[in-house]
Amino acid sequence: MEVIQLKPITAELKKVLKKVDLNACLTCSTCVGGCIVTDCPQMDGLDIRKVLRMLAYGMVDEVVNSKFPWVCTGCGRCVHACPMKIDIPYLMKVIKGLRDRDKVPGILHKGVEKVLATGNNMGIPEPVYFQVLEMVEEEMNEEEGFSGFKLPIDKNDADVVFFPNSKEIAADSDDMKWYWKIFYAAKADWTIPKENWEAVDWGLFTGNDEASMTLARRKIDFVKNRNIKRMILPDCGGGSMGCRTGIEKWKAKDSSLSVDYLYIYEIIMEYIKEGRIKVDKSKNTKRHVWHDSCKHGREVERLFGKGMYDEPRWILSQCTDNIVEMYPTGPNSFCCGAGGGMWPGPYKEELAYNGAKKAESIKNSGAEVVVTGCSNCRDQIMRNLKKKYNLDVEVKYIWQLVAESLVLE
Amino acid sequence: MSNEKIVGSVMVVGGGIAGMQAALDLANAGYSVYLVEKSSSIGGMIPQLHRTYPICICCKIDSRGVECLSNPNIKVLLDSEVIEVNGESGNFQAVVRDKDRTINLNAGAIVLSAGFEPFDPSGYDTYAYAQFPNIVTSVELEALQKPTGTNQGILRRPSDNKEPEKIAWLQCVGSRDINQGDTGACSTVCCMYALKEALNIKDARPRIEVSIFYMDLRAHGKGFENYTNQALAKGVRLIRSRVHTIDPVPGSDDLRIQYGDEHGHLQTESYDMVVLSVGLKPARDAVALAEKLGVNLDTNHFVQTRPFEPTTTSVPGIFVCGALNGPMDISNAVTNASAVVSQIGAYLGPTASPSKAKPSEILNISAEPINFMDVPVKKQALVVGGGVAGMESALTLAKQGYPVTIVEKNNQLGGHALFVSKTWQGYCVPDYLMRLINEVSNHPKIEIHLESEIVKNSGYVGNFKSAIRNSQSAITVEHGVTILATGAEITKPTEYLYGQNPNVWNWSDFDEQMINDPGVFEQAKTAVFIQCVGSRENERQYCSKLCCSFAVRKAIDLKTKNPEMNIYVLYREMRTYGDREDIYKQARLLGVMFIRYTLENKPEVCEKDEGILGVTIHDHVLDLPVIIEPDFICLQSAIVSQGSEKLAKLFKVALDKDGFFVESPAKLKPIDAMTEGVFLAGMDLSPKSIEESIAQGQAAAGRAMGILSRSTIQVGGVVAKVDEEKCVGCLTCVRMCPFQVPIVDPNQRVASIEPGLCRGCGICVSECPGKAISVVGFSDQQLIARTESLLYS
Repeated sequence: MEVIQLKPITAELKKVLKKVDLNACLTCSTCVGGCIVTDCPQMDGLDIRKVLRMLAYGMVDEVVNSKFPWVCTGCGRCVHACPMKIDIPYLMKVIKGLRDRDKVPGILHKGVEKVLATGNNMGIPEPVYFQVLEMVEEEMNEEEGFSGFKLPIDKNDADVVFFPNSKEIAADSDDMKWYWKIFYAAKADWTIPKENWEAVDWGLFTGNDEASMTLARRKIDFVKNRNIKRMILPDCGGGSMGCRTGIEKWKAKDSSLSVDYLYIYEIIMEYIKEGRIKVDKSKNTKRHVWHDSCKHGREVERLFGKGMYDEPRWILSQCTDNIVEMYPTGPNSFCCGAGGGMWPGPYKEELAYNGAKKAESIKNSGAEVVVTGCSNCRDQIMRNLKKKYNLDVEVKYIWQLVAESLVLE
Repeated sequence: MSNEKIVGSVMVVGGGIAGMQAALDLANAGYSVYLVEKSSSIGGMIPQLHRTYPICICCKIDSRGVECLSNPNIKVLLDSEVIEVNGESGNFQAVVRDKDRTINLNAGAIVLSAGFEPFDPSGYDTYAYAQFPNIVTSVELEALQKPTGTNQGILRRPSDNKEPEKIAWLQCVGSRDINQGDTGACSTVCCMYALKEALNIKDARPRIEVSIFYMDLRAHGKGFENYTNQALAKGVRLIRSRVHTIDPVPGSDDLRIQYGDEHGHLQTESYDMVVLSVGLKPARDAVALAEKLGVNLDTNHFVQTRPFEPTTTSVPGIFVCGALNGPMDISNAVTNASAVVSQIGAYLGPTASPSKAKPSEILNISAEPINFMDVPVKKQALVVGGGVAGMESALTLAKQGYPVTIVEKNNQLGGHALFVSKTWQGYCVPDYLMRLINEVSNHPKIEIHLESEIVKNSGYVGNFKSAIRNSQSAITVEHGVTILATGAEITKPTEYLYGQNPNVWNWSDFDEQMINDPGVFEQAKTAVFIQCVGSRENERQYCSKLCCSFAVRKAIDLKTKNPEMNIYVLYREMRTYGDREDIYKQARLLGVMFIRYTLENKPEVCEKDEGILGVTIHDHVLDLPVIIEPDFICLQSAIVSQGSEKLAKLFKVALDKDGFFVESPAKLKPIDAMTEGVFLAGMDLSPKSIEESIAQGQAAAGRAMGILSRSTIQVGGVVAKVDEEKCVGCLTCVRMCPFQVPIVDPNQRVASIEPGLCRGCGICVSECPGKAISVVGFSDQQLIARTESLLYS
């Protein structure tokens, strides 16, 4: 890039840029000041303001070929404060979608192809899936208080459906137990699908709307076919965002595809409030802090009107009296750095850089336990940031904390 | 003279600076005024401020208030609210309620002037104003700075009373922000007030570091650029970046700001205090009342007016002035108020007689009688300059029955507006101008002298005499007031291949062409507008003010006609202040590219083969050269004074260093010249847009009404008198008088001071080496005697 000459852009992209009012940009730097990618040494001097400016000049190919949209986690902290409210996360997603599929970084597109072909990102065959589920089921039965636990696969007329994540099936199968314990304790009428069970949505991570829609449609179909009352949105931030967006889009196309859904926080709250489960605060004396996942909080608030800020905090307050807050928090909190496909993606140095701000927030909060509600956030903080930034903290899922605090009758 | 006119009182709602000015000007012109104020005192926002820019007038507000309260024509209703209004223009019935009772009153006109309220920044979660005590609003900072406040003028931060060492201002909080700020408009005044606050602090405590974070520095008004330069020279830091978040510094009360600098790098700085420069929102009660009255509001919820009638609302008989009319500074609010008065005068006759406190009521501390002369007022006006400002003032006065003489040096009326196609809002100027010229030309009370000039002027307020000359003849007119509205000149650019390539245009020629044959430009593939050509550099350290809005308007018009056209606006600061911000946004959304340049990195224009133009400019974001091949370039060249030395001398009006007329040094008299009875309007004061010239023209008429409406005027009183025995004609008084009153007759070799012109300031008295001058009632002996009696009593 030596000199700039205004380039014409396709009518299709023009429509997209107009939709997000890209040209409204005042070049004020608010986004740069709030973006976790700013000054990342591996970005060849690119920052979000420059990227927007390049698009304004019609330098679409340059942006499509750059790493920036892929390192951007779509956390939405830019648009949260942008005086012109430019929907930068959407724009980055669109740009990702313009990349040739064979040039999508890392394993992301392969994951999409796999999920479309096999129903899960890793192409885990059904027998293996059952094997893992059975194994965990057996282990559960061996634990005190959970004997007689039975896994309800493909159950008709259940109250709620739970979608596992292929990461859990392949490697972290123990992580599922916490959910299951809660369901068990609450005597929930729940089910887990036999096929097309993948919780995450790499279509969202690769700007592949079509794939995203297919994944959402599969979940809708499962709910409809099995006559399930309510869908628990996948815990994964991107998974829930892609799924919810897909559900709303399908509903707009055909109202008969409408399904009831809720977040995992809401169902846990329901169980506690209705007295279906009891938790013991005295077990958790350490200082706990809640990490707001962008795609459960800020981005949900921006796109759907209400973020999940109060619900997880309420659950936390049921499990412990020792709670602190990060700064910034809630709608202005920092991304963990692993969103938007960065966790499974190939950019490891950038991944660590992206998490620097979050690590600083965690450190400043003085917390001993970081509680999260998204598998990407959990893994990034627990498996990456802790080491990189010397964080002396435990990292837990909120359902883990609840399961560990359960008082079994 | 106004026998056929309806007469009536006027209800002014809102007792801030605009409301008070309207009330006083109305009372002085003979109207009975109800001044309705919801709080328990008049004065509005200004008493809350520490100082105002550039000359502080905070202390003058009290005396204005007293003037309102003591004026027999003004009834001040405090703690009062307008509950209901019925009727119509000329005959409104209003119900006003105060603490104890309900009052019914009749008014022929209503003036809405209940102003603004500062934006409440609690909604910004990124700035956590409510959470951290050392984040304050600019209004709170004023209170902290006040010598009469709890800290006795020593600035201490709220959390621990520490004197701050580093302070940051964040601009555009609640302005230019459709996201958390909820308004697209620029609040116009915040850049200057932040500079003023920073500079005041720097003056008081030079070691305090002050930084202002901003997007575009809007220093567009008269003298603003100089003030900015002064602030920079004194160490006020300007950082071009909008701040995303204010963080607390763990373990202290300090605040941390991380911002993206101009190269896209993150910078981190800590501050003891952060000031949020909050914007102006129309006062909620005022908006509610406006809605109740059926008055239209604009997109930013201010009262809607149109450029050619800057104070007229959508409801006949209801007018608006001050910041309720849109974000504006004190000078414009006062101008607006005087303009309202002239518009009311055009259809409503006064019910009382002019009420201005007579000079004879001034406190006399001496035994010596102070003599006044009642001199009849010549109920006639002289307007010099037949442009928009001059014609508006002439027409307004003529409509009230006063004969007006217009003297115009060109062979037709219209001035620069003749070459303007549209206002920045997009209103057609030629249509308006033709209507105005017709009305002025056909008005029986207006006499027009074209290709004429003033060659002589004598006399004083109420009794001027001027000689008008053209190539054939010379006549003399007598007039009670003078309005100078002589306009300004547009410079011809000396750079960017102007005059060498036919496709490089000066903006005035460009706009004339847009009136006559816009097709030439509309077919272009690529266009470039270059801003600040000759303004804000070298010897011209001021902003020509209207060029940003001009270029943005033209870009919109061209882009609307031809959406495929690539348009670049090359600017230094985008000064689309106030509602103009709306068209800036509109232009951006249409795809107009705005590229910022600095003086060190000006655009380069070259001519390639066959006259093809090339422009190279450095993109301020990408830090790379942009190569443009425009079909034409439009240069926004500077507006300069047209050399008013002669007129300035004739009418005893001072010129500033840029050659523009100087208004009375009192900030509250933005239309008055230093010489009483002389008023100033339009571009001869400073560059401005048409609607601002119209407001000033009308305001000059409003101010003039205060003199023309009375039958006699008192002269003399507390003025300087010369002891001819002692005077040696040394000229000291001639040199020192700020109003250029003393004259030394070369034959008699003694000074004479015309009592009608003298302001009684006493400067000549203290400077006269021969002690030949004294002010009546204030001689040395009288003052000594007075002091002694005070000491011994």
